[in-house]
Amino acid sequence: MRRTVPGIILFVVGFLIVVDFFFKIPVINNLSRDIRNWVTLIANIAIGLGGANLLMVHTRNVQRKKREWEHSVVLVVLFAVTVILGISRSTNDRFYRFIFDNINVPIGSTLFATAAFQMASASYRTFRVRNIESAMLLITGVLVMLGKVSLGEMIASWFPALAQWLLDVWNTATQRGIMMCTAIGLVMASLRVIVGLERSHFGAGE
Amino acid sequence: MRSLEKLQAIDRRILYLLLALAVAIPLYKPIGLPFTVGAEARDSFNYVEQNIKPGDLVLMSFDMSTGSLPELEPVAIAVMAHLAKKGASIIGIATAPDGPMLAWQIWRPFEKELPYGERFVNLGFLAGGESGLAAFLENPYAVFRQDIRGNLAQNIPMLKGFKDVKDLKMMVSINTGPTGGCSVAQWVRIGFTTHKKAVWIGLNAVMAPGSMPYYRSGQLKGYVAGTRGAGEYEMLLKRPGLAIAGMDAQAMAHALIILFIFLGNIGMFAVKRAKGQRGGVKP
Repeated sequence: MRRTVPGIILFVVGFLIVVDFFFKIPVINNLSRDIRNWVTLIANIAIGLGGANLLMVHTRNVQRKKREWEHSVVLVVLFAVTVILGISRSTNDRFYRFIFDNINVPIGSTLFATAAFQMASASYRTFRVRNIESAMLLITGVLVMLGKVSLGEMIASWFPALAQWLLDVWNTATQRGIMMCTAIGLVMASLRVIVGLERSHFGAGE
Repeated sequence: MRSLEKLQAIDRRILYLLLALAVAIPLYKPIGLPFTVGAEARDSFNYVEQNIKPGDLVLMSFDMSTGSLPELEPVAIAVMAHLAKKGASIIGIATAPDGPMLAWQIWRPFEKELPYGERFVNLGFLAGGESGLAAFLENPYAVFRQDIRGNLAQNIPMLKGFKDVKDLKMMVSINTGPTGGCSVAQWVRIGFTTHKKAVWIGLNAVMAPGSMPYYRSGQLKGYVAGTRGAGEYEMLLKRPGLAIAGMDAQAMAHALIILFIFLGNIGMFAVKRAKGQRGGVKP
């Protein structure tokens, strides 16, 4: 029962959405539209559920004094303050904005910037000419890196054109191949889910 | 020879320090390296220039996270400035949770050109990814009853003429990628394939190669990637901003990384030679 009922719902919903895309049948088109509206509702509930789950996990960490529980305290306090402010005084409230602008934005930007330093270090350590493939990768990478910044234009006027050619021809052709394969794979996987051949997402059996 | 061998194991802290300097110095004192405008930025600019008329409704989705703000903010500002100049009205949504707050930050300098409720509205976060986007485009007021300020959406003056996707002239997504909200592929599927609307994307440079096929096939009408793309757009708009200021820093950082890669390889060949192995490219 735990698998059969969700399986039937999934089949009906999947069938309606697919038929809606290809055919103009008013009843199915309207049903499909309603289903898409429900998705936003379910997604909002899922976000709330995710938040509640996060809060529960970290509250438990604090109660049981688990490893690095101090971080959980920070999370729980900030979570509570942000949620209370957001709900009671709206996200336009200046305290809410203060938290977002002075905690969320700098932390997010810092983490992203740190990744650039790590990438620079990783490039230095891994881009080595060990064989033909790595030599090709290195040469292409350097050409695109130079061609995409103004320094490349200073070295030679054809650098940007060469980098663009590599992106337009070699990159696009390869990306298209990957996209086609992924799309076909996705259609097959979706069909398996819709017709009930793939049931692992329902979780453990009865 | 020993000193050459050391080149493949330079302390990463030295690299970090040099990289920080390579970025900070040009930002503090710009060098003014010349750059030309590429075809992508020019086509993206021309599309807005030639197709957007005063009063047109443009959907602008802030599908971005705080992490990508430094790279995407110049793109968002440039396109918003262009749309403001062309007289378009902008309906702001976000398929990423940070988006609605970042939309305020980007809109704030345009408060006079795009008065709230008349030429700009921030409807807030749209949950549900691709399905949520599809639902919004077909029946916007079933998804957003209110804007982020709590105004009833249907009472907002600029939304009077907005019934569904058919009333939109263009869709713009400032896109961090699938982790931040609807991906480029999802915008193409819903915006272009399903509704035959012009989709214009501003994205992180790292996502550019993966999204290029959509642009080459004409499924994207605009495609502005990273600081370079935003800098080119600012140049076309004759409105120098954050991106042009960052171009020198980006060029210096790239040059430094290439230099270090080069040094690392010299070090590797030096070690090989020292060990009596044959250096160079092996088949």
